[in-house]
Amino acid sequence: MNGPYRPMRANDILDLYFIENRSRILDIASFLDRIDRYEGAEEAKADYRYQAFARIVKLLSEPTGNRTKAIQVALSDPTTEPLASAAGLKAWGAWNGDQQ
Amino acid sequence: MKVIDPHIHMISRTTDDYLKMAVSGIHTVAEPAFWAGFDRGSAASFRDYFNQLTKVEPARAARFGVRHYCWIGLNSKESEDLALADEVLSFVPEFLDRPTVLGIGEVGLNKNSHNEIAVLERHLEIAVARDEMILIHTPHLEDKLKGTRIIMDMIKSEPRISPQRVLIDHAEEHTIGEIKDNGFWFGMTLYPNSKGSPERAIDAVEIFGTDRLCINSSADWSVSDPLSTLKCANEMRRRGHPEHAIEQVFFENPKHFLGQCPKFRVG
Amino acid sequence: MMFIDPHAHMISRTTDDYEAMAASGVVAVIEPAFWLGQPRTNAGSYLDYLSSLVGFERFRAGQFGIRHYCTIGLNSKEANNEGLAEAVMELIPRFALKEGVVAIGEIGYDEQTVLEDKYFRLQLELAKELALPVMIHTPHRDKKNGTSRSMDVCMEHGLDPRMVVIDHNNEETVREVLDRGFWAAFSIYPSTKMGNVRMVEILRQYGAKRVIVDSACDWGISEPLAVAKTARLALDSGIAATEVELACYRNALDAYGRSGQMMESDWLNPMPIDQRALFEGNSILRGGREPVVQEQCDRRSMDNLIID
Repeated sequence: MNGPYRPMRANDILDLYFIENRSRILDIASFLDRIDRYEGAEEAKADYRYQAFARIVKLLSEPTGNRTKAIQVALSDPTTEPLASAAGLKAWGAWNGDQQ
Repeated sequence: MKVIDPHIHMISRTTDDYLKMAVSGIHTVAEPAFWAGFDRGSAASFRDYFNQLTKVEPARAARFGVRHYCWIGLNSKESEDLALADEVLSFVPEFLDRPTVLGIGEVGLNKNSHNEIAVLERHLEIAVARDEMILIHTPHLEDKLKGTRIIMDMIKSEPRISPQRVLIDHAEEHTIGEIKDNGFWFGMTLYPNSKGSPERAIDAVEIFGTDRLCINSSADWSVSDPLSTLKCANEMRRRGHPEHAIEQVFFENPKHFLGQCPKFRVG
Repeated sequence: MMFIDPHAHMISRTTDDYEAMAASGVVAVIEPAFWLGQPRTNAGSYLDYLSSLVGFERFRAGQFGIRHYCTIGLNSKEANNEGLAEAVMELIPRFALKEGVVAIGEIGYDEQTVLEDKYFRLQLELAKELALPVMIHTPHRDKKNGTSRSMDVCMEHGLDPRMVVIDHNNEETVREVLDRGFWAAFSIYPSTKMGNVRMVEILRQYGAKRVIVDSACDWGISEPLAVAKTARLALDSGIAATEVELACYRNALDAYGRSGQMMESDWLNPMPIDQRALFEGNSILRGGREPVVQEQCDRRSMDNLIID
């Protein structure tokens, strides 16, 4: 592994990326608020994608380590059997159980 | 700085892009055969597409001093129709013989269906028979992890394919570890909004090291950026990584991987 | 000012170009069917190409707020492959009647061969039968004679010059085209066809009546903002705004609007954007991103738009 030439410290990373990621968190919060504000919020919140989103938001506040991978895995199809057919199917960004 | 973009769909890009790339230091590109945005209606249509990849596009690139290589294969999005696949696969070998074709790609899985797997199996057979390198497309989003595992199992079960001559592309945080553990190369794609950002790509470099990694733009007919490899190199630079490590990731690595094909020369 | 680019090969251009064109004021583009820099070897890929013009490309343009129209035809270069030409001619009538097809084109002469002449004439007859305008590609070599001959053949087949756009004009051809009552289009294409400055001189000398400016941008070195840039240069050079509007907007609408397939309300009162729409079951954007797309429907033809 290549160590950084001028090793940065975690505080440097905080300096470098804090503002843009603060903005990203606000985007996520306003996305969730927007769903609440619109007609049919309960229906949207029952959707598997919203449910998955709620789960991964919790993973963000895990204490340390592998949050990115944990979120990727939480959104993935955990099965191993091939699908009978791919006709007309696309990826949606979250796994909908067996409801392909 | 010199950069190789090992995955970019130049037929959908303009001469302005070639010029920008050339003056920015991207003098070598590789273009995998892929889906056109709509399903083609006939196998014959692929023949003209492969002609374009192997004849027109290298000539267009050469006007700007860019070397253009390509990969030939039937993409997984159009692999559900086995009759079409049969026909396309029947003329894939004649294109593999052409002077700028590096191997079979991008082939792989899209929704992880039986037919997609069958068509990938056929590509692997051709690769074995001809000793070709392989560029693998992995599925998107929720299908990626499962598909990447199925693909790796298929390749590993064929001992005549050396993993170091296979690059598994569009790898992300949850697939990189397994890909590396299995001895394959892996690709990371910098595609706005949906795939990796430069920050995440460089995080992966820091976590997994610079070995057997190629970073690419996959720029094409949708919103994308043919200079994204350079922007990612800059992300690595601003974190204080030394120039030789940046060059390793964005130039030496793709040169090493693609250079396993004797037809490949750096521009 | 609103602009129309009535000759742009958008399948070879990027989404960045669409974005820049929209920002420059382009509200609509017309994409003529042409060759792709290499001769196609079979009708199957021609069919996919024509399908992409009436389907996928229109969809892609819609994401950037640009209305995309096209012309359908067998181009002169590929007319020289008789086997291919015969098969493509079978496809053309059914594509010519699709929604958003505003002309038969681009057709005409390249090297002025016997086969080019044969398929040019057949397509002129088809345009007459379908009451569609015609977009004519004039040859790069022997341009003056090729242009005169193209118009002679149109007259011979009884076409109304007001239904025919002669494209790729230059200083040498413009006089005759205008005098004979045809539309005279100019492709502002760097180095090979016509430059901005020369175009402004033509507007100054001949006025804008029946003059049309286009970019002909494609996979070569070309300029998707050519219409907007020419308009700017013309205005800065003292050409009246009404004249600029004719050459860069209204004449193209007038000429191709004769198809009944293109009207100002298409972009002044656009249909609602449907972000959930898919194209043939696929999202236009790779990797699961959602498209912004304007709804399309095929009102004019019973035929299914894209052949599966």
